[in-house]
Amino acid sequence: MKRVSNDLRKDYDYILIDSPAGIERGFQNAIAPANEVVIVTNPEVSAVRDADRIIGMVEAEQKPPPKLVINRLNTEMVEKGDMLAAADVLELLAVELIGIIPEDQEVIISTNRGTPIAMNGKSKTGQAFRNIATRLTGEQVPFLTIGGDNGFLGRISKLIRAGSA
Amino acid sequence: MKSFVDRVSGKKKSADEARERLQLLLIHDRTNLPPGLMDELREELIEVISRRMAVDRSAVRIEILHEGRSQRLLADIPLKSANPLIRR
Repeated sequence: MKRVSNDLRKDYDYILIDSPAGIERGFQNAIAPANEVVIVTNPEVSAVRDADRIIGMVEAEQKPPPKLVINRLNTEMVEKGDMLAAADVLELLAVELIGIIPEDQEVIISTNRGTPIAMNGKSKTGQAFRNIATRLTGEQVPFLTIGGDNGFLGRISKLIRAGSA
Repeated sequence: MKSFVDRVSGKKKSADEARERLQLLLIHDRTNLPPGLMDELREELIEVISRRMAVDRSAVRIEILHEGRSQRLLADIPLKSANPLIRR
């Protein structure tokens, strides 16, 4: 992995390595050449638990602290109190948030068609993906309001401010 | 509306349960201490310190604190009297 990545480094600004899901061997190979690590997790108990173990392994490899993407967040369920809110996941994992992807059927439809949702200018989910890309380049982008719930967004922004202070 | 019903019925939100379960799970995963280790550590600490100072054995407490992703071993070791602190 390291050799392949070093060959590619000469020609590309960004190289994305997609790690196999879970905490098996493939993950260690995937992060070996990485300068930065982004962890994607669903707001579910078993997924967050695995993410925490992965974060521990990334730290043990002397990599910079990983960044977190919360995937498939279902706002309706969060509002009903039946899904962990982004703020809960952040508080549990104690890492930097770099994006929240809402659960959206359009993602499946666009992968069916082979056109990434990030290319869909009208989709809010596409916007969420583009924002992650922009944040990875080091630019600051405010987080989208998902579902228009003030309390939800307020909690996140409060947590982020508390974290940066 | 639903939250009011839940509050009256005393039923806990499933997200709250998820958060509480995760808090316990993550502490367990991160420390990964074998059972009995804290007790052994406590006895060894008391033994070492008692060589030099009179320790109030029954009041010694050691615990692991979690701050974000880092952990800290906290030992609270009360000494017996202010007078003959130093032995030998």
